[in-house]
Amino acid sequence: MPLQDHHKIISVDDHLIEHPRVFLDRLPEKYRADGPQIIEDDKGHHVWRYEGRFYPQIGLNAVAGKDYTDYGMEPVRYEDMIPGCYDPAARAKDMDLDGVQAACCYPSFPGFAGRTFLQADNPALAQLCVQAWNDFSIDEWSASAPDRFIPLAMLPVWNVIAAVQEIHRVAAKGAKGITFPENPAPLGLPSFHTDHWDPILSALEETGLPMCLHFGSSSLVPGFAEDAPFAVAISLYATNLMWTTSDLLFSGLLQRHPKLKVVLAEGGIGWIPYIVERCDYTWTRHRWYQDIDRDTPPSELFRKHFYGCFIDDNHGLANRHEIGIDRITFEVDYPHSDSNWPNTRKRAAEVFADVPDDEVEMILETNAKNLFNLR
Amino acid sequence: MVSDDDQSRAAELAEEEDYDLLTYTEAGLRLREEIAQEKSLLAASPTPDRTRLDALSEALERNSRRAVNAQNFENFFGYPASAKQVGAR
Repeated sequence: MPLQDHHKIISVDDHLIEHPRVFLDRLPEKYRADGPQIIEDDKGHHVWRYEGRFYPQIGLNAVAGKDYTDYGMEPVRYEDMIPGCYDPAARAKDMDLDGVQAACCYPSFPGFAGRTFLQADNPALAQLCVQAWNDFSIDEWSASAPDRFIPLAMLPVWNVIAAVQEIHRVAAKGAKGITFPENPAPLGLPSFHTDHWDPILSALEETGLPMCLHFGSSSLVPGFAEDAPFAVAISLYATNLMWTTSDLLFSGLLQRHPKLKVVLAEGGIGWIPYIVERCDYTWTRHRWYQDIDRDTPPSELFRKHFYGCFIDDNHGLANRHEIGIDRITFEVDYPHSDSNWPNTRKRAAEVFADVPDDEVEMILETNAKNLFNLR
Repeated sequence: MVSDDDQSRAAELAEEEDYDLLTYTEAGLRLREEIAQEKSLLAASPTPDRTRLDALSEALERNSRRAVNAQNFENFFGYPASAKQVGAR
């Protein structure tokens, strides 16, 4: 039987829009003028002003170095968004209509993994902004309905010691996952092929928090042609996570951190069997002359460490046993246009029509519970 | 092939400037489409159950009320409406 009434949908990838007082209410007085605040531009748009630069509310997760006016999607005003975008009480009602039990919500203005703060001028202020966002995510957004929201937190990734402290701070106050750049290299940070990140990854193992990699969070826009329509990049963003998967599988990092859990967010799952098979093939033929693990096949590492998720991916679901049933989770992507709201449950019933009951339950609910250590 | 429905939806959305968010227009379009479909199903059903239709109608009403308005502006933004912080170009 396909989707049953008792199956609870847990979305591992939704988004929230920060309301105007998230930072205003939390930053010390001396930082408020330079800290993020909503202003109105001469076109009547609401934009964030932070250290004298301007950002749209929905974030520019993939267009580092570009002004928001060059992006092609103008910002909207708060008055134009339905309240579920920025008000957790309204969001819970929209989730009720959508048949969704719980959601893990990524940031918007800071970028999906805090890139805006990484690229700021004042690291002390940036670190306070990271803490402010995390406190908002845990104490305000998620605390409004603890059984409906899965608290996510970000890190001051430019400072490993501070990042480790922040992991322990947010874990103690209830965070269930850490959003981290899908790949640090495009951001000018040390790659996954160094030991630079080991203290952070050890802290994630100690606290049991998964490392959530949302596509687009590294600022890399996929595609060869600069004059291509944005549709090209949108259709290719999942390939960023293919690059990251191969990076991680050949980095040696997973062997050093056997309890690390990695979430590939918003990338779909259809591509996973191919890249894992390709990595195994590469490993079989090429491992002898490179400084990579010669004992553990990449597919074994994938099955142990990774979780994928999808909104609508018939090809991936048809190949779910190749991926691993316990490696697949579900996402809604509210309030972005890709979401099926208010028909997530209806669409899920169609998507899971030929999937056995126990597998539906794992993909929609129990895998996410295991991933985020939910009861 | 672009249908008339698609064309009218595109025309309505073109009034807005952002295409990747549930704005009032996008949410209203989705809810009204779903309500129309649900009404058709109920009309054809020998044992109509209005639960879903009622929930959709409530959501449409709720998501038609402008939540941010002159009355709560200062509390929401942290500064009075009369002192709009114009700063970006």
